[in-house]
Amino acid sequence: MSEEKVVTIDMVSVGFLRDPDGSTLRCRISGQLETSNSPGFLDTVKDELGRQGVKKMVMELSGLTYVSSTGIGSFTTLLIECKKRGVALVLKNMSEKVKSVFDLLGFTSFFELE
Amino acid sequence: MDILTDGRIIHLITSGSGDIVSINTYGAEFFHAVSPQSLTGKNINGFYANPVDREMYLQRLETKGWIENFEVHFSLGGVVYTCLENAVLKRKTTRGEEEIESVIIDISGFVDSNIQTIKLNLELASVNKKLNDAYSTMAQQEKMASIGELAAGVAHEINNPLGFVMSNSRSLHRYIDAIKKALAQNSLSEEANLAFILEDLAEILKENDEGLTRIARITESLKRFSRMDSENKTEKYRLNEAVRDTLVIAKSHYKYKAEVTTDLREIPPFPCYGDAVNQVILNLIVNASQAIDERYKEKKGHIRISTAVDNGFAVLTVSDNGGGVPESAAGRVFDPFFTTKEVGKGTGLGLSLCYDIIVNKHNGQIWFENNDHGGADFIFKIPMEQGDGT
Repeated sequence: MSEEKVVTIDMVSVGFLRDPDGSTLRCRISGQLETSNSPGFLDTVKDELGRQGVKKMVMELSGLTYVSSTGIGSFTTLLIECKKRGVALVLKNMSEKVKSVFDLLGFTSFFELE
Repeated sequence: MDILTDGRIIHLITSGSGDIVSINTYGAEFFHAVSPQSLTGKNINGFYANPVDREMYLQRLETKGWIENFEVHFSLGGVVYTCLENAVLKRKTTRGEEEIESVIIDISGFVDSNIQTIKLNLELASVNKKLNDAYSTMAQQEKMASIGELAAGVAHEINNPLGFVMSNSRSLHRYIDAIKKALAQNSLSEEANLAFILEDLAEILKENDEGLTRIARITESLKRFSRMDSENKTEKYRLNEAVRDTLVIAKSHYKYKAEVTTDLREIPPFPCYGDAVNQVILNLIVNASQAIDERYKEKKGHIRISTAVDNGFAVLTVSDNGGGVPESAAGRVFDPFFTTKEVGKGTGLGLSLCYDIIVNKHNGQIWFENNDHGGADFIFKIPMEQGDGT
């Protein structure tokens, strides 16, 4: 497995790791995702998603402690992008705190959670 | 008038534990209270839709002493309101205890409309994906069906020479038997009719050579037509050779319907997805012969195929003297599922696949023009220098 590449945007950091065959992109997200850092977060993940051969993106969210409605908007934008590219998106290990915001705004059912 | 007192913003002061010390009139109205005084002493924590918001809010306030545009959600009368809160922590107040002074703006209208748009976009993306999947499946089925049809046509073309080669082979057996018999009887004379046999043998071998050459030509063309990998770009695609091969293997489609002439100018080999471009050429030839068949039924029409290089583009034109494209269909011929053919004769995917291959896969162009012979010219152009993205 290749080395993790970590990008930090304000209060959120994203670590990227590709499986050996390159088809699965794993993103480890930690910190707080809100209005100020959402655009940077979105651009960073989209750039990585655009690389050749990605068929599945697994977002590991156990380190994500807070998400605002704009943050949720970033996840939905990524989901739309994934659908366009035929990439499966899985949100993994979402904390109860973060899930409560997804629930509150009615977005939980759109995502595949693990 | 004062913005904090009379503006449509909530001005709130609470104790460190969340008890409301003071709130403006709009704030009381927002929290469904009859007056600001009726809220005094009540705890703000009870209004939070999500306890996590409050927890995070206090954590940040404790660390920095202030927060800026922090998103919070209040639940009031069963409705969730999204607000932005700006606050400062006042450690020593005249009242002697820690207080939090904040300004809250209700952004629910904005957030709700955004959420609705996002949800619609999500649903749209799901529907789009389903449509794309269905299109891919149908495109694959169309390709398989055309391969099946092609195979039947090729089998028919091979069968003809094969028939006389086999018949000749039976004659050869008979002649050999006759020669063996004559040799056994030691009488290579009139019974064996040797002179006739020798003469016919030469004729048979000539015919067999011709038949086998025809079969070899068909199988070679078929091999070249189908061996290219549709997923990878071939570096040296020879357009004229592809036209000739396609004409050989599609012969059964047009030979009773149209005379075909070609004008193939010199075109240097260029990189492209050969398998896909072959499919386009085949599609245009089959379409042309069907258009002629629909117009003339009993009479043969004419198909003309020409190629040329134009300003860095390889250009191919398939002209026919069929019925042309009616004006009502002009804007839709390249749309998926659109067909002017009789029911059962077309899926409406052929030209949309051609469009996809030429325009999306090769950054080229494909279009048609009705010609002076009553039919249509279908033309495509492919840039001979392909970028990496194609």
